[in-house]
Amino acid sequence: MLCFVSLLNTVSFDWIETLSADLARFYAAEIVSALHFMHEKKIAHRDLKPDNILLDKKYHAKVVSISLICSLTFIMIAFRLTLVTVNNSLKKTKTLKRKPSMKATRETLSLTTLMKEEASNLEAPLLEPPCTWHRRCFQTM
Amino acid sequence: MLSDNVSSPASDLWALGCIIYQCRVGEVPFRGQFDYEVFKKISDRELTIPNELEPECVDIIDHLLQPDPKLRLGAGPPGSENDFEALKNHAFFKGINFRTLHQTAPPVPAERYSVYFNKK
Repeated sequence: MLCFVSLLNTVSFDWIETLSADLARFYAAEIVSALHFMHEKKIAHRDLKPDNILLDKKYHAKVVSISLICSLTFIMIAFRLTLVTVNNSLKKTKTLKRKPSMKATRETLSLTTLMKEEASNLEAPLLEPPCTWHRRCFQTM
Repeated sequence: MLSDNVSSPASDLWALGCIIYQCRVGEVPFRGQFDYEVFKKISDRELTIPNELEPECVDIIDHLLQPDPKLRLGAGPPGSENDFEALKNHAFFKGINFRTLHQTAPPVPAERYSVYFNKK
């Protein structure tokens, strides 16, 4: 689902080089309100540039941080990979042992459930798409 | 930020000034072949502003591209002369209601954007 366009693209490729005065004012105001919200929460963006301003379907601007999303995604992928390998190794140990003692199975089971719980806890805030996150920012303002 | 290498919320406002300049002029405000040239241009405040730009736009760019982060518009503590309210009340944002901003339709010529959004 491609529903975001960077402000940079519109400025440099399709737009007639610059934005009209009204549009520039509108997007500047949207960025200002986003910045106001962030700075009130003691957050500095530190990487504000046209690449990081996305436009949604209704042409509203969203301030995001692409590099942050990328790094978070990489962390999540790495975490999932380790989870999968650990799960696989646990399964292997389970299948290798013909008659596992009750204690061992309980331990392994609790470990897997614990890790799954941890993963589900982590997934919720990290994998939320930035669009809804920012929409919420605008709604609260 | 160049001199002491500390980034703060005020550097976001500098970036905002750059974005406004880039949107209106179509070029990066300080351009140089090497970083050194760019730094020199910033510290000398070498900024080319086209004549056809509106005075309030020039004014807000001038206030946001202020080298001293403490004097930059919007960077001051709440209640001071250059806090966010001063930035929002700037003449450049005349006619914009920040409360209903997310409900207002952007003044976009729709046919330009259809290129991006109608493809699925």
